Amino acid sequence: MDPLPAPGPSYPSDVVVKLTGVGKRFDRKWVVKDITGRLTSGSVLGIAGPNGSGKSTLVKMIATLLHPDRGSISISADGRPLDWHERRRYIGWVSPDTGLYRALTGAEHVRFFARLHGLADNPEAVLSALDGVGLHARPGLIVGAYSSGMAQRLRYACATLHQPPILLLDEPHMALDAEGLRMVRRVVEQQRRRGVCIVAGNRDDELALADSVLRIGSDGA
Amino acid sequence: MTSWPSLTRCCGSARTVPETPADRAPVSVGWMDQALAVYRKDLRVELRERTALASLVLFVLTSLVVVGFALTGGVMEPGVAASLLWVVMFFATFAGLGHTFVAEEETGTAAGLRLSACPEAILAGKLMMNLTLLAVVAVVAVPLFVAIAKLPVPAVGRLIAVVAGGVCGLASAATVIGALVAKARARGVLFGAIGFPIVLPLLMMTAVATRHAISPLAGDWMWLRDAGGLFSYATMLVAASVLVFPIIWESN
Repeated sequence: MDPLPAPGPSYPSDVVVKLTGVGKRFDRKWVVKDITGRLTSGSVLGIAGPNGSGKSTLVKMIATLLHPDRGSISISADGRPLDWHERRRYIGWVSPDTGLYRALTGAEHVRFFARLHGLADNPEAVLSALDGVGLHARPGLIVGAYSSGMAQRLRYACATLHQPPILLLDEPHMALDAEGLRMVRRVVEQQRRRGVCIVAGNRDDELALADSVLRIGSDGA
Repeated sequence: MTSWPSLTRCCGSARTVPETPADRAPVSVGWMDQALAVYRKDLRVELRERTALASLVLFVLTSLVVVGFALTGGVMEPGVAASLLWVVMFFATFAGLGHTFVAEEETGTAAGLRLSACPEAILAGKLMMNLTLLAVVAVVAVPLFVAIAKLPVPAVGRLIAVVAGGVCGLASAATVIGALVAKARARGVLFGAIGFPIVLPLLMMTAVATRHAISPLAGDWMWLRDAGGLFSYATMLVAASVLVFPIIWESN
């Protein structure tokens, strides 16, 4: 297994995310309807809409955590289409829905996800990952004692560990202080050099991170 | 019908220096490495929280104390004792191991696991954890039960082999049933409803096997046959889990 990779282009130089008529329903209600778009490397897409409009659902579908009921989502890397399971190695996801293991420390979380992604167990690299999100001061603190802002920072550390070409941020500024917001800006700019970033949120400062914004109405379209 | 699950999906060689843009793919990692990571994580969490272990040990110790109290001075017929032991182990299993996957879904950590590890690795990691927990319980419960019930054990090796087979079977059953019900609403009801027909043959086999293992009259071939049958059942459950689990895990 390799050590945690240094920042830099070690992933496909061109990633394309394409949505064609994507729709999702729960029971009989269409939460997301007919979403079409194309995103290429170096761009940041914002997804905006009122509460319940399906922003998180759309992000989860791109993250392969939900299957669309209509339409298709295709992801390709350097022109090669990726199948459903292969895509997951290219994706990092930060969301309020992402749970953390309350009995583990921040360092143990990072180490666990590093092992899952095939990265070598390197204590310095783990501390460096925590340092990147401002959690280096107390790596031995268990997550159960974290504040909500610290938990959100840890989500960023775990999601960006493997330098994914596609980073999905759902409500990226949730619970973060001013330094945390700067951290998010840094992450998004790094992601722009690495691949694609999708930001879903309601706040103006979240959508300001994006180059373009896809607005979803309250009916999911 | 789905195709045979590919255990090579996760596997791959270590990353080499990329030569072309097409080579610069995220590194593949062996499913066993991922399984061990999941196992170590679960073990660490359990050692700190002791949720499952406390339920298991409490149930088993309480049952054994009650049995001992009821027996006071008396001797239990070996066939009855063998069945009672596995009834206790069955209920302990489903009291303590039922939360394996449920906890991941309820706390929201399942999504992170789905994105980071292949289903086969998650299944293997959880199975290893359940095996570990049940092995610990068996190491405590079986000798205690043998002492309380004053059971004769002519050949300790036979009893160990039978208990090992039973533990493997119970752990496999608890793992796959836990995965099946994790996303359901009426988990408690479903757990019993699905678990009973899967575990009933196993319970019958373990009761008979244990009776043979503690009987001085049982021939060598009997315990071999019994232990072989238990391990075969466990293997069958694991094979069925490997086929079914990826579908359950990915369903939404």
